[in-house]
Amino acid sequence: MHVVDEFGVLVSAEISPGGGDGEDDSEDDRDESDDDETPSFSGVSDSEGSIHHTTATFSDIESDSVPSDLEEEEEDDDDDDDDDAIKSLQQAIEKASQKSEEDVVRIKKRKKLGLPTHFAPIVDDGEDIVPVKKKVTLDDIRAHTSSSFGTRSLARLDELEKRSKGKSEVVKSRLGRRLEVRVDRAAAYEIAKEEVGKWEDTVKRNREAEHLEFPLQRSGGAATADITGALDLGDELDSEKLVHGLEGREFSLAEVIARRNELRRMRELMFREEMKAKRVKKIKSKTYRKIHKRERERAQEIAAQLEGESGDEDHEDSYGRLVKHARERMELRHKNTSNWARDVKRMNLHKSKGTRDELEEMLRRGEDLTRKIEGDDDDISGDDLPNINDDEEATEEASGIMAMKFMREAEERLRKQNKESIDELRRMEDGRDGETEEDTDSAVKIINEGRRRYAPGAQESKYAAQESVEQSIEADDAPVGLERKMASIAVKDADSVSTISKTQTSKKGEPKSSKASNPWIQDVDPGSVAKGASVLSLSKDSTRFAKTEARLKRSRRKAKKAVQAVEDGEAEVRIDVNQILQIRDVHGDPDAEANPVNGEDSHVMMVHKGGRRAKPAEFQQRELVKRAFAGDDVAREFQEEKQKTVEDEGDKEVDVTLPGWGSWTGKGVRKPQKKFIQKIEGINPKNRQDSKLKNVIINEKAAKKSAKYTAGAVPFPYETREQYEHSLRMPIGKLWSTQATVQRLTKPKVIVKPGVVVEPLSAPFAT
Amino acid sequence: MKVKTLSRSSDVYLPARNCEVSRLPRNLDPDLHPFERAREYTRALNATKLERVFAAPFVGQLGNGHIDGVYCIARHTRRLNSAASGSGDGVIKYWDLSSKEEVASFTAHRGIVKGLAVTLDGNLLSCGMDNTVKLWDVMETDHSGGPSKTFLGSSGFTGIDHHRSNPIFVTSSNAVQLWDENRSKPTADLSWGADNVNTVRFNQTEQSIIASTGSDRSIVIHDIRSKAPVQKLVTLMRTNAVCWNPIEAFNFAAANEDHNVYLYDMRYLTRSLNVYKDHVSAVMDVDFSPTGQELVTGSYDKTLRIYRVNEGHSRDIYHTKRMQRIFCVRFTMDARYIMSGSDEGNIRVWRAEAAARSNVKSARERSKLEYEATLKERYKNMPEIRRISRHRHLPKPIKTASETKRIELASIKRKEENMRRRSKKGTMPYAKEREKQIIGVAIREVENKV
Repeated sequence: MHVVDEFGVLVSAEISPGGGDGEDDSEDDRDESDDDETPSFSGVSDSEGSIHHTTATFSDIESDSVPSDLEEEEEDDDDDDDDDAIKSLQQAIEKASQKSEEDVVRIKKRKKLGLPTHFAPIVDDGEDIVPVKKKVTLDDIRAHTSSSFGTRSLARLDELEKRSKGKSEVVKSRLGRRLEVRVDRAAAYEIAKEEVGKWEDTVKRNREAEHLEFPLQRSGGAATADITGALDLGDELDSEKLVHGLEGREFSLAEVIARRNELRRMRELMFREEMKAKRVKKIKSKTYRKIHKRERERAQEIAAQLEGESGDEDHEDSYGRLVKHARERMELRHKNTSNWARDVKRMNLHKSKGTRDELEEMLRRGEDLTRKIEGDDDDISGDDLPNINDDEEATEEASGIMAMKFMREAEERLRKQNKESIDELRRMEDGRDGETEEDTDSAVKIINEGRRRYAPGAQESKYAAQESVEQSIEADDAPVGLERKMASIAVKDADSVSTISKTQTSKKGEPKSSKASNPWIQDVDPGSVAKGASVLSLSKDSTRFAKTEARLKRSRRKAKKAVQAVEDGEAEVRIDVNQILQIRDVHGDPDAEANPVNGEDSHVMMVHKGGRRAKPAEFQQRELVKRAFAGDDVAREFQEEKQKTVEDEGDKEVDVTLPGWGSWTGKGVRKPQKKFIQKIEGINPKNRQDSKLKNVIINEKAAKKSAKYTAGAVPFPYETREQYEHSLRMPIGKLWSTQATVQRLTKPKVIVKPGVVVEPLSAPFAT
Repeated sequence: MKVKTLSRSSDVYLPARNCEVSRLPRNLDPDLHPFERAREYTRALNATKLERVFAAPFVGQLGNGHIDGVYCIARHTRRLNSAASGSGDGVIKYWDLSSKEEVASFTAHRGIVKGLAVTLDGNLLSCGMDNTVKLWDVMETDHSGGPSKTFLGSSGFTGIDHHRSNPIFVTSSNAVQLWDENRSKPTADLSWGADNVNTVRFNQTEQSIIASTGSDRSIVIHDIRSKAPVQKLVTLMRTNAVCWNPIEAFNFAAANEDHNVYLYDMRYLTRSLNVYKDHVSAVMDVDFSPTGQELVTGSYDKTLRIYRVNEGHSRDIYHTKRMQRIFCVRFTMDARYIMSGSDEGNIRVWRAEAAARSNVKSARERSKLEYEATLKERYKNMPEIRRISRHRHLPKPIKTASETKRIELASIKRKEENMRRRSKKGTMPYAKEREKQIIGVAIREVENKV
């Protein structure tokens, strides 16, 4: 694309992109030179300065309101002989270019302000952003060009226009070609990563292998056969049968047959139970996932609403969708392997247009289908639940091991669990169907006989309602609204803050300061107790299903509340949660009002209630430590020790005078003058390695001869000296261990069979 | 009185059968075998010394080499003793490695032969700067009739590699193109906008993945299933060659102009897995051992180095007086030998293990070698053993260059440290050695999570 490309914008509005094949390459080249750029489909980026420049010119030639799409650049097929036309066009461009520069600046400003520029005015059509595209026709140009504009070039353009009239449908690229390519690549990269990631296990195994013998015999994932299929229940039972047979009792034929039948039945029953368990588990997870998904979507919606910037959000959304579709596309490319398609490819039939169309049609249909499936998938509920028959009870007596008590009990337990979980699921399904009423009404639910459990949502809402009513009765007019809000918030954070909020909300009522001041004694409010109980009952006795259900409900309720909060405009009130805490402090500790401290300190204060409250915790800590180690003067001891070492290792003078030698006793004998003193040269204290290190003693007497036989530091794979020492401890040689041990210990890590080509690994799952 | 004399029954010490080796009675009492650690240490030390004594890495050169420099070597993928080489004057030669003799020699291209690849049926593909890729039948020794097939490209080719199991190959020129052997035009263009692509290499394990290096200092991963480039990594300096690990599908080594070789995981390109240092000039080529445990590099500093995959410094360095800049290195397919082609036109064959000999060994000899290898491994951290096993005589230029480089690096480090000390805390974070060379990747993790 040379010059034609420069006014490609102009032509692009008229010519459909199916026109040029060479378009892809040339555009790629330019596009990828700056791939760090953030996706922008209306952007005036510096890297494409020249192009924008021209575009600005043209849009300037036109009226300001005429928009054009930058991303659509087309190439004309036969641009051999239109040099003159181009020249004259360029002249026109130059003429207008002075003005255009100001224009660009102005556009940038507008963009900064988030206003639509005439490059790509943004229009929100509900889902995506589609740059508005009005067609630039030749008439527009004619109207704005001067008379010097060559008539030949206009004629040429006319020709172009005529040619393109037939196919005036323009396929819109929604986010711009560059972005599309990027997304495609990201998707392809993701898939390539996945594919190559399949080798991870093999690589890991090879790395950890003690010995590798090359050529590796099909080591790539060959061992990953599905052994679960082979692991059948039948085998176990057969072995059991064998054990029974070995008992030595003789069986008659009829007995044997009966026994066999019985065994078969038992096996069948057990198998069925197991399958049921499996299935129930699966269903659970499916529903769970589905609910979660819905929840997530809802949360996202809410987030989007909260954001308020619908334009940006839509862009993100469409980008995400684009990524998804790109991924699908990439995968379809992988999966375009139906027999027919393969035949078509093999026999080169796709060169004929009919077949190609059919092929494309097939692909398109496939894509549509997948999309449809995805869309509808949410509506299909887990209806396979009722198919599980829980009435087929195997209550007949069993024999053999199965007849033993523990086996029967275990079986019973399993069955019970299954039943329970099915029940749970049923209930959950129902609950979800009647989602609207759930939160307001259904107060009490029974899981096991004898256990009472409150559906958390219903419970709390109920209490909230009660409280708000109470307070509205008690309190003045002004704080009522606030308090109600507080109450509802407190209910939201049911787990931890419940008691706190309770104290706060009832601050107008009876004085509870005595209780609240003691951090260990919580408020014994009927509401909070009930809530605590519900939580407790969950953690202790309930099955996984119960927990899951509770969690589901909680989160669903949260999402719902969030929605409601948004609707009511209560979102800001959330911030007040902190306030609750503060007020609680005030209540519990009247002194704290004077010198406000943060939450942690207040806790500490309460712990050291008897002590001086005003002092910070760490200060006390220091004092404690001081007291604990009182009398230990480590620093002085160390100094003494060092002094002693220095003296010991330093120069020494030893009196080697032999006792009695030359010493005569008696009167008038002079003292011998001479003393024999030997000087043993040690290390000069100034030359010591630790002479300038105040807190270190370095041993100067380290054995130098053994240095040759000791490693300087603990070498890499070992972490401690002991480990390394241990690795050297046992000798390897033949003198010290058996032949087998020696062979085992000395076997090299990598063995390459001589004279054989060592092929790279090849995938057992290769296509 | 009966005097007891020493008695030795022949039953005890004579072999029962002819072929049986006589038993040597051995006393396992540890008191009789004291100082085991000291003795084994001495054995290890001696073995290390002997290893250095017997180290003779150079096997020989192939024939009389080329007239011009050797810039590419291809090894036969299924036969051990066949190789081909291409030189700067457009000549290709086939070699018989066992006799080190030339099998055929012919002028294949006008100008330099830039790449060679072996097809599925063992024929040779060559590409050159004369815009052609040519297919040669290796069974013929007389190539006066020209190649059996010629593929025409639009610009000079810089590299070529063949798919491991399909009749397709990939070339690099100003684009990365995928070709079918049975078609005359490229079937796909996989390029990602570099002006020039230096080399291209197929992944031999995950066979549809290609890595290419561009003159814009990039490494690009392509996938021929989606017929598109999928990821691009830009480094500080140019990458001269890449090679995929033959047993670890996602790892590849990249020989860089900055004297280092980097090991990357194609899934996580934001950091390298390992950096192989020691060269004192640009690394021109890198090749993995077929076992995937070692890699060999040829450098512009006229030396060849061998690295263990999980270590950062070379375990050996090979050089000769007459060897010039090395432009291509290849392991043979049995992982025992290395071929190197250099600027002065010779192709040299080296042992991968300098002290190893490939003759047939008796069981006793083999077990002794294994024992010694284990001892060396065990005591390799002892100072004396380490010193001896690491000691190499280097050519003076290399020695001085490495000294200089060391000083330079230390100086840079010191300066940085000074700057760090004087600047505000946290404003100059330490650059990770394995990420230093990376400028960026095109597709970041964040984008993929959308």
